Amino acid sequence: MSFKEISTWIMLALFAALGFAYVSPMIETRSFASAGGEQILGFVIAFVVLFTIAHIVIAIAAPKAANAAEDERDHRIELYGERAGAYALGAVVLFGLAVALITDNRLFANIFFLGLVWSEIVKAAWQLALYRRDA
Amino acid sequence: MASKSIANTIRTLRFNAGEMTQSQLAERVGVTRQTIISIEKGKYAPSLEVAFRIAAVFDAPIGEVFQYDPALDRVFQKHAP
Repeated sequence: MSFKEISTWIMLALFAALGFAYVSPMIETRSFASAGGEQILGFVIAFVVLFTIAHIVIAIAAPKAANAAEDERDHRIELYGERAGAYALGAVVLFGLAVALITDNRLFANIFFLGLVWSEIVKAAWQLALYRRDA
Repeated sequence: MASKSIANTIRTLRFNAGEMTQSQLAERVGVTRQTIISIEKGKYAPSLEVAFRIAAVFDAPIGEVFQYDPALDRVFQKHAP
């Protein structure tokens, strides 16, 4: 297993474990508003610390793999993963937009909506830049 | 990422090159061992650059390392006259 693949397994395990720890109190209290900034900050700090420790451990255990540069297959796999992640994020943003519209929260509705518009502008502009560069 | 229309003889070429290991080949080509494994199994079609590098390692023409069968290429068949 390459270092990149091990790293991806660690990321998946950490997000699943921390995500479960984050969501559990919400399920228990049956309130999606029970967690706030402190919990989010805790999640982020815990993730960064655990991810760093895990990488140090695997780098010590397999230094050769850790020093090996990523190759084209890693990049392609990463790209496919990023695309799947973008679809998932887009679905959540659409859900958030729907909730904001239903609850008449115009601030968040516009943040979600303009966020989608902005991401499409960035996507199209980047694609056009690449088309022109390779033309 | 796999391509059924492209086969390869890397395993044979490695054997003929003094039983070169996948790790050794990966190091010479500048990819990971997992990528060489995937290419050998036909699960990953490498870029032209990596394909040429592999051929250069064995000092063989690229056609000896990778073989293309148009009959198994759906895109080629779709546009065939």
